[in-house]
Amino acid sequence: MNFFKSRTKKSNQSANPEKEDLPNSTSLKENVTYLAEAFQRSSDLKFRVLEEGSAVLIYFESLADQEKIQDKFFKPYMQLTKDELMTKSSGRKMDKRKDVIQFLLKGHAAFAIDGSADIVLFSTTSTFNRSVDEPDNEKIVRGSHEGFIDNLMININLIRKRIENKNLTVNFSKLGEISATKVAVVYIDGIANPKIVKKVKDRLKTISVDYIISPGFIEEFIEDHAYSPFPQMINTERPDKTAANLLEGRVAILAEGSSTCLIAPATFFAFYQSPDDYNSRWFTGTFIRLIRLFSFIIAIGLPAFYISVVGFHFEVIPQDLVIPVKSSINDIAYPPIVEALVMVVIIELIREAGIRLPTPVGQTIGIVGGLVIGDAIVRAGLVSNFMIIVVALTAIASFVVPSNEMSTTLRLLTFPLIILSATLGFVGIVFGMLILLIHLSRMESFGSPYFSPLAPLHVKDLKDTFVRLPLFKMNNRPTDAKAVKKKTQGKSRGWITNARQKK
Amino acid sequence: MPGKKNEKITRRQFFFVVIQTEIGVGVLSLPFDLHQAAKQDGWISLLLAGLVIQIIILAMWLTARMFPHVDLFGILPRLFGRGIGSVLSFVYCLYFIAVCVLALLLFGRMLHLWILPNTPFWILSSCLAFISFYLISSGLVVMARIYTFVSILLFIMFALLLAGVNDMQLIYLLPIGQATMPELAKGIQGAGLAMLGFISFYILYPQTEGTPVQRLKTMSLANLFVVTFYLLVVLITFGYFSTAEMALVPQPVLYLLKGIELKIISRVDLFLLSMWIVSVATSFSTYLYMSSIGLSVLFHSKKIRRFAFFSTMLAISISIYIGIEEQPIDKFSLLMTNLSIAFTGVIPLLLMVYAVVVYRIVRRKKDGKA
Repeated sequence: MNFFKSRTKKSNQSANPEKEDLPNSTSLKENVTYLAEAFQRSSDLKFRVLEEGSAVLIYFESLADQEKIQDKFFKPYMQLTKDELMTKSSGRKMDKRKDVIQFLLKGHAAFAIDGSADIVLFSTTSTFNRSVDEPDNEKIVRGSHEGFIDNLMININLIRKRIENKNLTVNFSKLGEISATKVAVVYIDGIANPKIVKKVKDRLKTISVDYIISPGFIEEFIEDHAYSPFPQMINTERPDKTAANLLEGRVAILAEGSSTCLIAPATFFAFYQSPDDYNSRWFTGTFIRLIRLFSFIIAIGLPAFYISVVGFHFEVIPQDLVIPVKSSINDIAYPPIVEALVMVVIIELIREAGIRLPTPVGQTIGIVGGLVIGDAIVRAGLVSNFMIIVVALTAIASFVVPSNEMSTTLRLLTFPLIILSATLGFVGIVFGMLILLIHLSRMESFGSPYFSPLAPLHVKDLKDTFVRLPLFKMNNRPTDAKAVKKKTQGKSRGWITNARQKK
Repeated sequence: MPGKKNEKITRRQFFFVVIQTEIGVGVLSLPFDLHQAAKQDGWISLLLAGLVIQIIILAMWLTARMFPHVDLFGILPRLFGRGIGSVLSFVYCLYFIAVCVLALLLFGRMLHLWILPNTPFWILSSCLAFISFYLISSGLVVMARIYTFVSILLFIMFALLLAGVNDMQLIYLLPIGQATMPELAKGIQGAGLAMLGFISFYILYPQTEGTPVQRLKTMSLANLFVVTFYLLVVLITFGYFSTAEMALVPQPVLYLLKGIELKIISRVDLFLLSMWIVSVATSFSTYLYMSSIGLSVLFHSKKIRRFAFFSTMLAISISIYIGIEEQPIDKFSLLMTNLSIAFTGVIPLLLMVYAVVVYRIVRRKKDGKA
């Protein structure tokens, strides 16, 4: 085993580690040849010969911005002498080949002179950013409409703009041995629990892969229960949500090249919260939240309940409803479980097709899939009216969840429950729910219980899970994040008592 | 792993664990059993049973207080030496598994009678047992969390029963005080069988936070809660069914709900039965947990999960061997009633006497000599 391990490690490293660590040569020719070789004579690496061959400007055409080169290099170059350029300009002196290579890859322009081992690098990186628009998958009605983009620095800027505090800490690290993706761990010192921060950092450190493409990679490497269907870190593209979670004492993980931010530790109920809850009046917020949690029960339980009622416990249906239900399912050739599975799969097909297709065609799919198939399938006698209602309701309920990950999980959990209910009726549903409950209760996300305010029961935390009480009642941070600083506010409505005292 | 070692449960969790362990299979047929024993005075038996249990709890507390860091399986060898102590521990483990078997049997029969007449018993029993195995393999803390959470079902069950209050005839409770002492005593036995779970005090005591007195208070509160819950159930059913009718309905709680039709849903009894499954699962799990803890202490092993698996398999196989025919179950439950008097009544009292009197004197003498 050891033999193999050492071999794979070697192959991961670059071809010539010894040469890379060397300082630059004093000979310009040697330096240029080395760099050209180091990049495999890549065609977009540009060497611009200056002063009849005694100096060279090297940069990647594809990474550097021509205007910036003009601005940062050529303007001072015209005015200053070479020595002054080395010392007084905005460029950074480097004498190691490794550093030069790294900065060239970032889009810097390198200026090398014959006879000097120092190479000056000018920051000429060209950036293309999309605007910080609201993410499509997390739209809200009121509140901030900014969203993260694919640039790490701008994302951190968006967070810092919201939390202007010296305790907001950002730690960079590089992940992926080939891709060297920059990853930032963001937290607020003095609020976030140091143990959790350390856990996050330690787990990130142990990741040893060639490349990290998306935060999904990071999530799978560092989450506690990889074999659970439930997501254990919040994925969000909203800076306001991230800031709010940081202030609750959680840790955020951002990666270069991705607009998704991971937040840990997360509880089950965190996936049911949306910034909208806090932007509307608290009555409305509470109502919406209750609807969402109710949607959880519908999403995983309704088809199972319907199947067990139709298949096992017909007597549960009240008398007036017996005839409509019976007449609807009487002519159906298949047992309810087949009906349900067919319908659920059809809905998943429509959903997946709708995502992949361009928007105008996607709508067509919705109409063809939803209306035409839905109507025809009933007339053809394959699926009953009631089953269409049930499955459609289930699908809608699963889309109510603000988090996409949780929504897919819910749709996945429908299947085992359908099968259980079709074999054991109500008993099967109870068994299924029990297993689910046990699973949720034994899960932990970075050391804090996943099903937190319910199991273990924290009565005080319930005021921001099932309901959303007025903000001035929430004096303490939620316990699941194990924040060091518990209190969040003093008497924010102190003006009432003040006014009374004046009278 | 969830449920770190040495993590204690809070007193609130302790309260709910005890409640969930006590309220289990018995609740559906308890009024019938009480009625059979002492007619309309069955509720008096229930109260008396609560009193007796409170005394036993006191006895257990007195014993457990002397050994604050160990549970029953640590107390027994300390009192009687390793030989006899181990044998006693082992017998207790077997007893807990036997209670598990009884729970499985009654559970299987109830489902067989009410909703799943064609499903083979072994499927139901192994489903339940394996869910419990999954539960106890997560450790006591997770169990306590779940017990606390599912206790809300007790309140829903009770709320469903309130539907019967409208048709109650309190006159059915009259005349009061007709039952003779032996009849009442028989009623106490029946009620005790539905409240066996209090024996978990021995195991949970060292794993709970709080001072000894606080823990005793919580335990007594739990006992009070269970007695009140049962009393309300019994009174509602006694008031709903007349004395003559009671003899005909072995599961009065379910029959009561079967007769009630709500506008939205009929057959409320099926929903109650579904919630009852959860109660069965929780009390079953605690017994399984206690037996696996006992076995792991006996064999000096930390791998509780292994013994839990063993206990689960044993309980399933015995229950399948006995089967859910009328006669063997009745025989077995009679045997368990008698055994329970010994294991949860007589032995704890004797243990207390032995621990408080003999053990202390012996130890004092030793100390004096040294």
